[in-house]
Formats: sequence, structure tokens, C-alpha cells
Amino acid sequence: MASRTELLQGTLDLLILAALQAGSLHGLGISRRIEQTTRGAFAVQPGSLFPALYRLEEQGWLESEWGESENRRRAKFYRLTRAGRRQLEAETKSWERIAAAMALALGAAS
Amino acid sequence: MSRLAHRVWVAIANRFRGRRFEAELDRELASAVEELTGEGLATGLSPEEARRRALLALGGVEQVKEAVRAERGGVALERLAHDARFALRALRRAPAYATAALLTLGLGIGGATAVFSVVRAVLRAPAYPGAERLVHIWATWPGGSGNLGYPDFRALAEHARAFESVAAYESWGGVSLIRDGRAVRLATSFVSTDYLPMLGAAVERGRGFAAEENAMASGRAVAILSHACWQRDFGGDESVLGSVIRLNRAPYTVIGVLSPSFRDLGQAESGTVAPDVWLPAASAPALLGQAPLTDAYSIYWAVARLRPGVSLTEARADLERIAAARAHEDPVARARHGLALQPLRERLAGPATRPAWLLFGAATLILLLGCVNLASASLVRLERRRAELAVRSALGASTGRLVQQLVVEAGVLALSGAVTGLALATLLTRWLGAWVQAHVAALVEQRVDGGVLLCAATLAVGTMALFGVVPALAFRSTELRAALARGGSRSASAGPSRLRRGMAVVQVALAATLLVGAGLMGRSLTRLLGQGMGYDTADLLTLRIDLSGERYADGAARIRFADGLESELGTVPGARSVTLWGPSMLANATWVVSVFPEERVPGGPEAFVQAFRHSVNAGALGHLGIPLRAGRELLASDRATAPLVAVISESLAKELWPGEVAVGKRLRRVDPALPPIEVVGVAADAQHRDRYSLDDLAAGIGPCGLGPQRDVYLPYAQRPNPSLTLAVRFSGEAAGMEQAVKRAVAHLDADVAVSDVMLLDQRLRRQESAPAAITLLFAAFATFAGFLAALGLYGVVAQSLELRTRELGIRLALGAQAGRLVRREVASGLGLAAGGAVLGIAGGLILGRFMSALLFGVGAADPATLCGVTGALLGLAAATTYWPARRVIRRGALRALRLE
Repeated sequence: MASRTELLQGTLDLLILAALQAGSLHGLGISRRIEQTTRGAFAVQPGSLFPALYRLEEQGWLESEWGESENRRRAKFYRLTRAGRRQLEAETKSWERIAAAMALALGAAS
Repeated sequence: MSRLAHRVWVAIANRFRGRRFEAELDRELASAVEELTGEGLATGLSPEEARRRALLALGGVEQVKEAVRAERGGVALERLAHDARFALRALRRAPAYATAALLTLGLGIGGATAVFSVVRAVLRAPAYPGAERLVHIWATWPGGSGNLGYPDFRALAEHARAFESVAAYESWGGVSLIRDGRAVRLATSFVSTDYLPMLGAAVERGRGFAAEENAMASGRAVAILSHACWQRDFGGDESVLGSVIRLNRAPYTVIGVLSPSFRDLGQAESGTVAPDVWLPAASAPALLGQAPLTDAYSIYWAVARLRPGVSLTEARADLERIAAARAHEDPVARARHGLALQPLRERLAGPATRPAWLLFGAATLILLLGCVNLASASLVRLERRRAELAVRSALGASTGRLVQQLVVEAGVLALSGAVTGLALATLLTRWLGAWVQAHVAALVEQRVDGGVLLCAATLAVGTMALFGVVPALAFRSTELRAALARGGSRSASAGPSRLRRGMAVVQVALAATLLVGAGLMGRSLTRLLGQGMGYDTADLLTLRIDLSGERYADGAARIRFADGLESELGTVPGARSVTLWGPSMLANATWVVSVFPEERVPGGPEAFVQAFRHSVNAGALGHLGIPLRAGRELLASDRATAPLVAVISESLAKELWPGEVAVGKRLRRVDPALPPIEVVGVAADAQHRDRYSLDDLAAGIGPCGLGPQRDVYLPYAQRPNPSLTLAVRFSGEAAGMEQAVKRAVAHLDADVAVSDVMLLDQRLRRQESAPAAITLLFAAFATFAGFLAALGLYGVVAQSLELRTRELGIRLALGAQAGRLVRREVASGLGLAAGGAVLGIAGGLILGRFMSALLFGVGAADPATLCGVTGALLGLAAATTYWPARRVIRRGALRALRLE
């Protein structure tokens, strides 16, 4: 297993928004999607995931509805709202700027 | 903005969605568990094992729920309300604790707030318009200070640059109002033109003084009445405006009536009553029977308004300049005179400042003591609730959450305490306010205002922090799991118990500090009262007579009246002796004379010794019971035309002629034109002034702090003052004697008013009432503090014994002697008390230094007080530890063992 990386403050929100870009998922699904896409670097614990989902929903970036999971069980599915999509774009841009700046700084240092 | 609106909306909506939210969260988490379980089953696990792993992967359903709840908008508010409800329930389950806490906080916050309202009133500018720029001005000279003369005032009014306006006033005198054949004494205030407008005095009816009516050189005979006088002496009759009234037989036209809300500055001086009538300053010489407006009669105080932007230092420099000009103008009389000023606020409230701060400090310490007790009690409660808290912690409550809940509980108590305290403070403030005005500073007005409310709020928050947060923090969560592991069985944990012992030490220290202060004040007061006056004060009826006005302008007329009064009263049955004493007995208003031995050459005016001057009738010293040390008493033969003679006090004789016989020597006065006075007798020292004047204390003069009694007694016939005190020693009824004296005065001259009738002992008691009440209040505070400290110590000891009941039982079972165990417990309690006492004595020494100006006859570090307080506290500590130790060890311990 790849070594786990500590989540930066605020990164979790961005990861969740990104995970939902392709379509709606339920809570555990989001957690697995993040683990897959980051190749196991980030494993989101339920104790952090669920509070974040409620927070994002209250902020109006996600909406939820009950549906059926792939295992034919009832589950609560989340998807991006229009505001959520805008938020994702904005945060992605700002993240890219930071990442580029960090890469430059670290590259200059080495 | 819209984001904020959205969040507020969510917070509000969540308030109403609580139940649905919880249900939804439950369902969502349940579905996650099922999902995980299903996956487990698919990999071939048993259903039980699959479910167990699912729950494990989720990391505790309750913890997740709690984390989600914490993220919800408006959750803080909801939680606070929930915690407050929970706290109320918890307190209802512990009514004894809740009542004790509420009482302690209510009394503590109430007491401190009420005393704070006094401090605030004392520090606040008086209720005159623009009062922060008003200053009080007086004269100084080598070895003394006092009233200004008229020329001083004129120089101020004409030449001062620092002031917008300067006004003069004199509020000590009185005149006879003659109306319907009866004489009534009216208290007067002689004021310059600017005085009433400067202080914002509102005229209720009629008008104020016009400038030309009040010109110092040529005032008109006009008068303004007080509202009270208008009601009392004129029945509130409108027609009195513009009419002519007779004051000391002279006609004066009434031009106005002042509003009852106006408070005259003269009332700031102790022993002065509110004026009945305001008169132009220029009328004073005629009405009071005094010489024209020269420096010889310095009777005025001045009050001035600083120009905007002028500092006190600049104003003082200005005064110095004027004083120098005066000295240049009149080198004989004013050579070493100066002018001084202080903010009016200090003048009016100065006497109360130090006692007020002292009492506020004491009240705050009491509140602190109460808080420490509550903190201690809430630690015990926490110990008892340890099992409950441990369970809640295990069920998912975070430490922060538990601490918050405990703080909210403290907050609920502190808030209720503050409300109770504020109600109490409102009552106390009314009572204290009346007391301060009556005894300490007449012009200090207090009320519950914003500042006082702020004080109560600050105290409430402070107490909450002290007795809520500190114990909660001390009780860290690390212990909780251990407590759960022990199954909630009782066991002592070192942390909180050490904290509580520390708190007990602090309590004893605080109480010791206050007790040292109270002890010093009590001893000082006992010394003061036990000192005696130096004469027999029993059965003396005293009253004031003013022989002023045209009829008594001549000294011979005053002497005739005095002689007549003496012989008239000599025939009254029950009157054992009649003493005439000018100007007053036991008052602050004393007249001084500067003297020096005639045979020696003085180094200058400052070499003269200032002594209090009393004009007395023949035999007065014998009548009062002041023993003669040498020579003779003043006799009837010391007439106006006879050589000038005096009896002087023993201390003055020793100062002027050390090691020599004073009788037969002569006194020189500053003005070489005045004839010398022969000393014919030396009398034992006696007290004639107010012995504990707060005015003196504020001026830096301690109780009886004027040093040795320097008194000069002159025959009334040779120095006939217009104002005198009559003292009749009588047997029988005081009321009958008062009537007889009034009849005798009226028989001699129906126009002479008698005022201020009182037994001398009553006067003494009234003067003692302020220091006695301050001492008593402080002693009450200190005793209460001692009680709280004892309670705190008892709590610590009892709790520690209770927790160690098993251990003690085992020791007993193993053959330890009960007596020795008890002694060990008492010794440990005494150790705490001794630690506290040492700290407290150190605090007491600091307090003593702060108080030293208020003390008489005891040093700030009085060994007797320090030993007494230490002894008392150790005794109290021994008693409070002995009883619980005895009870637990003799009875409880073995039984507890048997039960196990």
C-alpha cells in the first residue's frame, strides 16, 4: 500500500468536489473514489468525510437525494450544484497556482 | 453578503429541522454500515464478523454523528441552550450546592458592586456643569493653610490668566431672621457675583444677583432664599419675593428662591449645614460683625473655572505669580503666603477616597474568597461525577465538550448570582449613599449607573472564569479513562486535591490580610476613643449663639450679653456651671493665634508657633474639669481694661519655654503693634478639635495628627468673639434645661437666635460614627472572610478524609491509635493554615502601609495585631480540622471497612 499523506486543511473539500465532478455518488463511494484517483495517497476517514459532506451541503455546493446503490441498497447520493461547480473551478485554479508556485519554489531550492 | 445570509438561514432552519436531521443522519450511517457489511459478506465473512468490521471501519457511529453535529450551522447556539438546560437540571439535583453558590455569589457580587458604586461616586466629578474644570483655591503659609482674605480674592479675580472666572464664598456663619417677634437662626452663604452662575444654580422663583448688587466694595442689601427656608420660614408664600425681611435687624430685600436641587459648596466642610440664605459677599462684615474686607479676616474659599486647555500645572504657576505680587504689595502680612489649588472633585470627595478604596478592596477579596470556595466545591462535585463524565466521554463526548458544559454550568450560576447581586447592590447603594452623605462627604451622590452595571458584569464573568474554568481545566480528560477503568469507585486523585489544598492556603491568606487590616483599624479606634478628651464631657448641654449685627458691633455689647447670660443662667435650678467658649467646641472651625516668647527674638514670621485660640469666661477650665498644672485660672477680674492674660496648654508651655517656668512669661504676637500677653497659668492638655476628621485625613493629617495640643485660653472679656458656644453642665432633664437656656437668651435679647443644641456626648458620638462605622464594616468583612476561609479549609479536610476512609480504617485495624491519627490530620490542617497565615501576614503588612495614614497610635506592623490574627486563624484551623477528623476516624473508618 502506498504511504498515506496527511490531508491539508481545506483540501478535503476540494477532493470531494472533484470526486463528484463525474456524477453523483454516495458517502462511501466518494471515499473510495478519492482513494482510487489518488492511488491510495488519501484515505478519507468517515469521521472526517460525513461532517464535510454536511458542511458542503449547507454551503449549497452539494445536493443530496436517496437512491439505490450498485448493491441494490438504499443510500444517500450527493451531486454538485451549479454553485458547487463554480466553486470547484475556482478552487482548482487557485490550487494550480499554489502548486505551480510551490513547484517553482522547491525546484529553485534543489 | 449573500453567503452570510445563506448561513444565517441555515442556522435558523436547522433549529427547526433538528429531529428530521437526526433521523436522516441515522439512516445514512446505517446504510453505510449495511453497505460495508454487505461487502464483508461477499468476501465470505460470517455476518457477525462482517458487521463488526464494518463498524470498526466507520470508527464509531456515535463519534461520527457527533462530528457531523459539530459541523452544522447554528450548532453552537443550540449547544449552549442545551448545556444551559442540562446545567439547570444538574443544579436542581444538587440544591444545597446551588443555594450556597447563589448566596455566595449574590452576596459577594452585590457587596462589591455596592461598594464600587461608592468608589465611583467618589471619583466622579460633582454634579456641577463642566465640573471637571472647576478648582478649589485656598491660601497657604508656613505651617498651615486656610481661607483667603478679600484682597487675595480681588487679586485672583482681576489678575489671574488661567481662569475664566473666579468666585468666593463663605458658608460658616449664621444670622438671626426676626419674624413675628421670634428669632430663627438662618445658615448663611456669602457669595460673590459669579458663584451661583458658575455652579449652575437654577433660580426657581425671582432672579439671581446682578453684578452691581454684589460688587465687593458696595453690595446691596438683597437676599436669595433656599427652597427649604422659603417653605419652612415663609410657608412657601409667593409674596415674599420683593418684600423686605430682617436679618440681624437689618432690612434685606428677597430677590429670589433657588431650586431645591442646588447643593452649596459649603456643605463639603464637616459640621456645616445647607445654607438657608445666600447674601452678597459684601454684606458679610456688617452681618457677621467683622472688620472690613482686609486680610485680617480671611474667611473665604475661592472656586474657579479653568480656561479650556489650561493644565493644573499652568494654573498653579499663575497662582504663584499672583501670590508673589501680593507679597510685594503687602510684605508684612503676605510675605510668606502662597495660593494653592486642587480639582473641586478632590476637595469634595477627597476624604472618602481612601476609605472607599479600602472597603472596595475588602469587598472584592471577599468575592474572591467566595469564588475559591465555589471552585473547591465544584471540584468536589466533579470528583463525585467522575463516573458519569467518564461514561459520557466513552460514549463520544469530547473533552472540550465536557469542559464547555461545566463552564456553562458555572456561567448559569454566575449569571443568577450577578442578577441577585445587582438587586442587592441597588438596595445597598441607597443605604450606603445616605450614609456617605451624612458622615463622609455631603456632596458625593451615588447611583446605580452604567459603570456600576459594568462592574457587576465584570465581576460575574470573573467569578465564572474563576470557579468554572479553573476546576474544569484542572480536571483533564486523561484521568477519565482511568476512572472508568476503576469502575467509578472512589479514590483520591492527586491533581485536584493538591489544587484544593493550594486554594485553601490562598483563602486563609486572604482572610488573614483582611483580619490584619481590621485589627489595625479596631486597635486604632480603641486607642482614639480610650484616649479621652482631657476633661469631663458628661451632662454638658452645648449650643451655638451668634452675637452679630449692628447691636453687637461693639465688643463691650458682646461682653455685656455674655455676663448677663452667665448670671441669668446661674439662677436656673439644675444648672451646675455655665461655660462660654468661643468660637466652638469640637468643631473643625478653630481660630488660631501665632505666638512666640517675648524675651527671645523670633527668626521671622515662620518662627512663631501656631496655637488654637479659645475665648472663655472666668472659671471655664474648672467648669469643664481641665486640671491646672501651674499658676491660676482665668478670673472675673481679667476685664477688658486689665492687662492681657492667658492660660496655655502644658505642651505649648514646654515648646515655648523648655525646662523653664512658663507662668509669669509673656507672649509676643506677629504684629509688633499688638501688646504682649502674660501667661498666668498652665493647663493640662485637652482635645478641642474633631479627633477623627476625614478632612484632616485627606489633607494628610492623621487622627490627632496635629501633634501636641497647642492651646491658648483667653478671657472672653479681652477677646469677645461674636460667635460662641455655651456649655451648661446640668443635673436633671436635658429637655428642661434646653428650654430654660432658650428662655434666658430670649429674656436678654429676643433677636438672638440659639442653634445647634446638643449634648456634648452626642457631638462626640456623631464625630466618632464615621470612623466607627468604617471600622465596623471592615471588621464585618474580615470576619466574613475568616468564616469563608474556615469553611474552605473544612471542605478540603473533610473531603480528603472522606476519600481516605478506607485507608484510615485499615490503619486502625492494623493497630494505629485513633488519637495519633486525629493529631496527624489536625497537624496537616494546621500546616495549610500556617502557610496561609504567613502569606496573609505579608499581605497585611502591605495593607497596613496603605492604611497607615488612617491609623492612630498603632504602627502598620503592629506585633499584637499580627500575633492575634495568626493565633486566631490557627485556632480556627485546629477546630475546623479536629471535628471532621475525629468523626471520621473514631466512627466512620472502621464501619466503612466492615461494610466492604
